[in-house]
Amino acid sequence: MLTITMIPVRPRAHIGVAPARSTREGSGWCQGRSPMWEHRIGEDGEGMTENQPTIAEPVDPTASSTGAPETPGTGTSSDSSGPSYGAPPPYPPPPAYPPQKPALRRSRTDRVLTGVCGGLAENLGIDAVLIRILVVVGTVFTGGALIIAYVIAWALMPDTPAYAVVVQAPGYAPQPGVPASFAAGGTGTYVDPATGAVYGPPTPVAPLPRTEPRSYLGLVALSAAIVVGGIFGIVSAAGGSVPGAVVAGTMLGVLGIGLLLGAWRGRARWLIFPALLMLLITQGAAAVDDYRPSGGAGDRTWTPTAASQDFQLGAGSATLDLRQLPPGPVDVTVQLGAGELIVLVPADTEVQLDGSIGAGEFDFPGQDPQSGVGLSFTHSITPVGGSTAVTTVDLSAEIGLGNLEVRRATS
Amino acid sequence: MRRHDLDWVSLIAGAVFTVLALVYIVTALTDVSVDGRFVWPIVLVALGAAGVASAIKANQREEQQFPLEAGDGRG
Repeated sequence: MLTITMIPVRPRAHIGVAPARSTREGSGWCQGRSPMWEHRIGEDGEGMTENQPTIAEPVDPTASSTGAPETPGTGTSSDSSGPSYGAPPPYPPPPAYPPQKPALRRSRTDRVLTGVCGGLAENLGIDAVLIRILVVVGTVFTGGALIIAYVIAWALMPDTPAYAVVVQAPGYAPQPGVPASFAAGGTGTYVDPATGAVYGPPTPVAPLPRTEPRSYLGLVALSAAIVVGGIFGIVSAAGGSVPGAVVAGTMLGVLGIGLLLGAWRGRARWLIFPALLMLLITQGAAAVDDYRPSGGAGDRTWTPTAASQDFQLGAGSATLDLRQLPPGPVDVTVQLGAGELIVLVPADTEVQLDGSIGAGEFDFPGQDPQSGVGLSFTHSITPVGGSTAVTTVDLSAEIGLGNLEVRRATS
Repeated sequence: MRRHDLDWVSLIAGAVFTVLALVYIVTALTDVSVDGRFVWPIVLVALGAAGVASAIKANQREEQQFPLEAGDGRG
């Protein structure tokens, strides 16, 4: 008996491993690619294989949507005992799926650092390279602030699952083990009597094993960096003197070596984030080390009364009150390791200010605050109202890590 | 750990961080100083360039695996 069945052959990307890949391939499907239909022929079920080239009588596809389903045991296709299978089973019309916007997830296939740019590109339907260029340029022009936005996006955007998913709903894939049945409307399952294969609705696909074993390189490098920092801490606690920049720099170096190893073996790109943080710490430590001020730590209020005075503070908050200065030229020098320095300038005093800040911000009257790394400044503060200065102060301020604020004293 | 194709992002980032670590260690132990204003721009340029290069390479690899078909609107 001649049996004709209609088996739709899925386009290549009908089932995608990940939305990232399926986006492109799947978009082609959504944009009007019709599934190819393969006509299959067999006699008494023999010689039927899934992809066998076929000759078949054309079947009106519209019949599938209106034809009544046949029941098992009455010469239907699901009756494997009978030699006759009757009329070809109905098959569903080619599905017309609306284009689906991929969810905003970090891409697993288009990933450079964390997949944020790739996932955003898939969601917006534009090239990921463009997103990356915008991120790099935006980072430079925002002074690095975009990195914070990137980290936030990394934390908020869920990762793409690492298992295969059925992207569309077709029911054309052989699903062995699914109970054979015909459902009304031709959307049920069909059992191949020869092979026992069942063609029917899709069932959830089991997670695939990871294609790549998890790499512990990053974790090892980060742990090693912490151990190195701890060893330096023990040395310092035991009375040794180790500059902070050496401690932080060594930890940064360990992370860098971990990244270098990851270029050939294992995966450790995420170490870039702790390395960036450690670079910031190293810079701060180096700035503090450069000044090495003494004077302990805490809050100070300095009120110079002599023509030349120096002040130092290791860490803390200091206020330099210039209201008690004698008339005439005065020379004041301030060194602050880490913290905040506030300078109070009376109305009849002129200040010639110069100095540097390793990392931090300075705020002078009449101009916008400036922040950053490696700041140096020269600024002149003239008496209020253009009057003649009673006192002229030559103020030199060196700050490792912190802020400098110059205020006009009220009285 | 399994050996894999050269990862340019890891290579460039690792090289930049390792070199900067050495620079800061040397400057902390000697009188040599480093201008911190150049550090972050250099890091950003290096990481950004590595990311773009890696993306372009991934794109080329993808197109080799999935060559364009006639009439395919990709691109």
